[in-house]
Amino acid sequence: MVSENFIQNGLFSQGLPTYSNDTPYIQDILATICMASKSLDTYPHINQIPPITIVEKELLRP
Amino acid sequence: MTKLAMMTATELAPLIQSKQLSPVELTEHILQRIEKMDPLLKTYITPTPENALQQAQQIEKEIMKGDYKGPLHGIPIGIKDNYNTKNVRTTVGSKLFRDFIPKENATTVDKLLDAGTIVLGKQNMHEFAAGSTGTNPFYGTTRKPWNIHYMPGGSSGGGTAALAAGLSTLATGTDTFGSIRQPAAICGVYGLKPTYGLVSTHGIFPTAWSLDTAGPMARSVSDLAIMLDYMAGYDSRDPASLKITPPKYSTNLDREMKNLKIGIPTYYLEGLEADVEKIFFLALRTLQQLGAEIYEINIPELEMSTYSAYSIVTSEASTVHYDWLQQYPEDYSQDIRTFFLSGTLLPPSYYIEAQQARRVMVNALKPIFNQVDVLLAPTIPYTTPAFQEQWVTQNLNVVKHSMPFTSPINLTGVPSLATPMGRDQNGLPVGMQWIGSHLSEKLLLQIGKAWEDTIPLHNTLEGT
Repeated sequence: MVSENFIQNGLFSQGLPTYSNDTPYIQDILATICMASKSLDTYPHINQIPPITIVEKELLRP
Repeated sequence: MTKLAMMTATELAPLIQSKQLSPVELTEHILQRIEKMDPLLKTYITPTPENALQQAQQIEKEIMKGDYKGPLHGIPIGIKDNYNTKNVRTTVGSKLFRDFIPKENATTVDKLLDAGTIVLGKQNMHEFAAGSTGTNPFYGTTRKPWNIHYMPGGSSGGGTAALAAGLSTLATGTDTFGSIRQPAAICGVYGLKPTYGLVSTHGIFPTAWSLDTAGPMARSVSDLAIMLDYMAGYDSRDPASLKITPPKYSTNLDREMKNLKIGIPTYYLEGLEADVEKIFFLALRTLQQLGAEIYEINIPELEMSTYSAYSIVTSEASTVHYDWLQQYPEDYSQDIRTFFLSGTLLPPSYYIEAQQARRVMVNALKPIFNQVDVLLAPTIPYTTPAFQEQWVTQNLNVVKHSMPFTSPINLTGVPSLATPMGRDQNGLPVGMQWIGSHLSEKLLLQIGKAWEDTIPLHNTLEGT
């Protein structure tokens, strides 16, 4: 579980709102992401794969 | 007269073309229903009855002069409130945009207007297209017409509920992690999430750029095909737009299920509610009786969908909203604010890794379509929930349960057609999604039409 302090400090340092009753919901969302990240363990070389990004070839032409 | 409101565009068009049905009469009829039923159902945020009637009168003149444009000429439509509409308020379902009046139309709105549709108004949606229950504390919560105590789904729930209630003939939707398909399943109507880049998103408020798609919603597959004929195509103002010439989707829709190879990803058989599982297997039995061949397919890479989708959606959405979250946090409802704020706390490596996982998933999915023609899966693993008092928790939970089923389609950029598959023990619709390879919309629509001919909403659990 991501700590309340991490969430409050992380938001505060960015000038974002730190409502205490938001924290449990944010904790739950981050916990969902952390738990789901285990699915990547099966693919140890994933960091060597180019990410999908929107690169407009037209835009980069002279 | 209810019959007129529930007729499809495909049924109405010949009547309008042959001047047996006046577009003014049709529009007035649906506007009267909106006036009567929408205070309860809340399918519209901003109805535009005066504009609609003016448009209908103009269109009637055109048709009487013999200037008939085609099957959308004189057909009433609802526009989701994240599509920009010139001089008509576009709230994106949010308090923040309560006074926003765009100066120009979204590309798709222009295309649908050029086709002769009559815009009935701006339809309700979950705030910023980032939630899945249809709860909206600012403009009123959309209710499911089948039973008003149940949620209509979202974020395009205003449109699907309006279709189910006969408050519009057609509707537009957007789909970033299921926002067309999930409410279509819940409301018992049809929705198409097209290939990424097939339909322009220019002038549509972004949820997450790298996943956003726009698409048609309707009461029949042939109506979706007609809409897609007009909505698809290259748009230089949309960086993701595909430079292709789309086929004519609405012709030659008839095909048989015989010898169709349907793959069932085992990934989609995990965690199904009992009713959904029973109805899905009933549907498979029907398909086999029609001559389709069913194969179980293992695509373990899809397990990365939940991680990828959450990381990408929250990161991209929090970037869109960063300044507003700092300045106007009270203008967000709590479910959406917390969803977006979560993205500001993720390390950048999560976002990059999520986009790497997408490539792995795309590469895993592509060769599957050499083995089977289409994939088939329940749209969502649960039956429609009733509204709960704890609506913030409910929305975040519904998103969590939908994401594994809906997001693989957005992450891999492939098209998916949502159709009804039957009704649960409460008599409420349950849906399934047909998934094809990139740009296989025509095939999906042909298969969907053959499935629609089986009248899937008549499939119930009685006698099982």
